[in-house]
Amino acid sequence: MSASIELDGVGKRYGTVTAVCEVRLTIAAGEFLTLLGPSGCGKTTLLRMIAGFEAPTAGRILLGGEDITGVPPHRRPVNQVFQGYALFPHLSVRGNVAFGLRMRGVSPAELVRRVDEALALVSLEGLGERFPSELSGGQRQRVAVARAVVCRPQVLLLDEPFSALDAKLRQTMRAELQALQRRLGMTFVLVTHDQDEALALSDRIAVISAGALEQVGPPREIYHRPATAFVADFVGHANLVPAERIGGSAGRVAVRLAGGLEAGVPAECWPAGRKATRAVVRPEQVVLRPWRGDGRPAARARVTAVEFRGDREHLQVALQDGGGLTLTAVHPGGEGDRADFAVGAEVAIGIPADHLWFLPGG
Amino acid sequence: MAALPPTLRFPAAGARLLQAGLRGWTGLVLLFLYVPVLVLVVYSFNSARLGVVWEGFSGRWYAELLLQAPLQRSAFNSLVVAIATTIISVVLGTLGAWLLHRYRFPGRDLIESLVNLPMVMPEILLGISLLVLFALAGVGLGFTTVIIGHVTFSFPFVLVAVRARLQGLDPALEEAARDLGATPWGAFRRVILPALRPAIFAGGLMAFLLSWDELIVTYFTASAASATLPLKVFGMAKVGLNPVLNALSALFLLVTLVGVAFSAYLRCGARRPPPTFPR
Repeated sequence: MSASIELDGVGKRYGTVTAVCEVRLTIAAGEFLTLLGPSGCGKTTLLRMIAGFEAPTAGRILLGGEDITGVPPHRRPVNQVFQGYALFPHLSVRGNVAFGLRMRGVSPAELVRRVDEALALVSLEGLGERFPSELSGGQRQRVAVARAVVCRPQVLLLDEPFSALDAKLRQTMRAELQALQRRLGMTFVLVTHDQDEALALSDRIAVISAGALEQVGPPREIYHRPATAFVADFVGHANLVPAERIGGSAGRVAVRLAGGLEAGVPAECWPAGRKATRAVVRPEQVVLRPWRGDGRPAARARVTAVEFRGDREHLQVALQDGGGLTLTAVHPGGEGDRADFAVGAEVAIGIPADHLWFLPGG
Repeated sequence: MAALPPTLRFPAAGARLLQAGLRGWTGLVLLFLYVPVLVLVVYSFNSARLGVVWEGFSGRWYAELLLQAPLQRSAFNSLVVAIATTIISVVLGTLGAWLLHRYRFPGRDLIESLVNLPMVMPEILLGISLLVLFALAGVGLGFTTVIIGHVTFSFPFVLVAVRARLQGLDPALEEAARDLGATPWGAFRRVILPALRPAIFAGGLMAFLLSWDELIVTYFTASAASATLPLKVFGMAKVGLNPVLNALSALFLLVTLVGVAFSAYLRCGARRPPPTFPR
């Protein structure tokens, strides 16, 4: 029912422009993998090559160990949920869902049964006779999903499936999609530029930039241990703080951050053999206190901007000794201590050493 | 407070005047367009043999029409030519639009502009050039030549209508069909074609009506046996006005109106396509 995909040096060039450069990636059977990257990074091209709409100019694509590089899209056991859904406007919901089965010459009795099954799977029973124009955004997405999974593909491809939905609905549909993937045990490949979506849904995330893989790994690893500055900054917000090694002993490394903070960190966080690199400090790792003349390990800073987000506040704090370095910090949006963290207030900054991660590449 | 000018104190008065003026103007335009047609229809029921004086209501010219075998013959010819032209134009126009829309090939832009040319080319030019061509090729004039002539200027109308519709179509539709197992032809037939239906009908109707009342190209490309109704009417009118012609024109008008009404009906029907899936 589900199969692995192997991208074996898959590349795509348009004339002199390289859209995707020789990607090597294996997606396990039953895995939920997300291709994450900014628009124009080549993630959609990669997905289209798996679907068969684009032919790679280099490499091979293997599905369950079988080379499908030259197989046209209608003969690939792969189905896609399109961005904007591409539902057939002249067919009812049932007609849309039945389309793939008809193309496969499924017998009428089985067709009816499987369409019913697929509609039940996405809780659209009773809406079968409606037309796409009579459905809400969420319902359309469900039809698109039902239409794709009814053919029992080995792999389901999803191209920005939530982009047409409003924020609230997006949350609901996200949860539904994840539940569906667990239930079907089908290999899912999702393309998105939304890091929240990627972090919430995926077993693994492949971060893509300028046509090349930046990092592949589980969401937690991507977030907490980014391999490159691009990944650190694209997935969540990151303060990249210059750091240098000032000593070390017995599995720990002593580090000094710009701004004067010093810390002893576990040796495996520090890239072996490097003298200096940059620390990845997530905004929620920055601990803020009102400044009361404390010394180390806190650094002194001044709040330069506050952005209210409801459940929390995003603060820009300028380090006093950091050579103009400004950090983003997250602070719970309580009302009681507002004056302590208003613009212009002096604050003490601490960064717990155990949460620090250092970019291997500097 | 200073007194406001009357148009501001009674803003409705000025607006109402403007509205009345526009309505009157619209009425005049419509009159200008339709009075001649109305006169023709009314006079087709006039019993007088010499057109201009109203002598009384009569259906005798319609009855006389029934006795005129050559006219009926040419009306039948017109119908045959118009239907054949419509079918060929629809097929050519739709496939042409699909090719131009979907595929990139050398000379595509040139073909695209050349295809639109017959729409604006003077018909007399088209007629003469076709006649010369048929003479050179040694093709005898008849139904085939008339239909070829009509298709030449009709199919671009279908092509343009379908092309416009294609440009408004979600390009992912075809990919979705392919993704679900349809061959390129299957995707075209089952997804693209149904989406194009309104444009194809509109273009086809246009082709039908253009062919139905075409005179000049027919004049150059028809033989005596394949003369169409407009050609016959033209011939009769040259000899002198004839109340039978009024009756004929009224019927002619009727066919055209039926066509227009049919297209309006189709357009209403297209808004909500009937379910095609068995319940």
